[in-house]
Amino acid sequence: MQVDLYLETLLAAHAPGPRGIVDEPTFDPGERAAAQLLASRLVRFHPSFRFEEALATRLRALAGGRAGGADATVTDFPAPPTGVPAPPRPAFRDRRSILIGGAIASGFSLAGVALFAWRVAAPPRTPFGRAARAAHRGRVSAPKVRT
Amino acid sequence: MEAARRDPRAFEPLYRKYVGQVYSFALYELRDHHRAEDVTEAVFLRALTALPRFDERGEGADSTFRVWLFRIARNALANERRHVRRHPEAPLDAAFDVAVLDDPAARAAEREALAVAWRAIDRLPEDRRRALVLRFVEEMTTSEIAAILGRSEGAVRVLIHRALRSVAAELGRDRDEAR
Repeated sequence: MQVDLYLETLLAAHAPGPRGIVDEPTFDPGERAAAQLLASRLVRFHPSFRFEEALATRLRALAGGRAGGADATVTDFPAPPTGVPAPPRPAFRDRRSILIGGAIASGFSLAGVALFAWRVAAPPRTPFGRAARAAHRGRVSAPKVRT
Repeated sequence: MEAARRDPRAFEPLYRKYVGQVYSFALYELRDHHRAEDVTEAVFLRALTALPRFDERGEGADSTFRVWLFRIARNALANERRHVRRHPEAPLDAAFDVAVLDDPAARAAEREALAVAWRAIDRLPEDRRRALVLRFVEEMTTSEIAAILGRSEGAVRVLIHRALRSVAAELGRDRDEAR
């Protein structure tokens, strides 16, 4: 409690502004010098006039747009400010499912074509199969007769 | 404040009042004019967007708004610092220049005094430096600083007291080296 009071008194005594510096014998000389230095030398900076006016214009335009007033102006789409999270991207799973669906469909098609080609090229295993294929070859190679 | 909440076009007086404070806070943190401007811009754009959600309850509307604004600034600075860490940081006094004095001797003396002050706070840990800047540059009360930094008032007093001791020790070292 005493420390709190001491510090608040020290800081109040060395606050910047018209109150000035009050000499208090209980203050530690080093801390008093530090507070004095910081109060007098740490100044507040102001941004450039150009920056301040440009931002004021931008805020005015944004405020006008938000209020929906007649003085709202159309401005360029602003660059995202630092630290603002990027807009959400499509979920990875959503894009992935489409890709998988397409791949599966393509896979089935390719497998079907390969199976058909293999079935055509491979020799039939059964006598009935061999007989059916010989009959088919004979029908295809025989000259067509018009009736 | 209430007017600005009802109509965002009434935000401009608040902006004019606090733009210097926010910019200064950012400049002491980042030590770079351009980055400080970027953060200041982000803070006010975010504040204007979030103004309808601003809760005015507190000890005083003006103080509450400043605390709210500086909380936005603290978050924006935290984001910016994450980026800055990947780049070399300039020393604090490199960001400033003293060009207001005509007398070269006075300017040299002023420059030296500034260098001593900045050197002293430059070596402080981030939280102590931030507390000192809020206190001595922004002239905030302990309760305001506590609300901005998300700490108790007692913790803020401890921070400031330790920071003052460090600065005092730094000044003592400077004096010893000068002898």
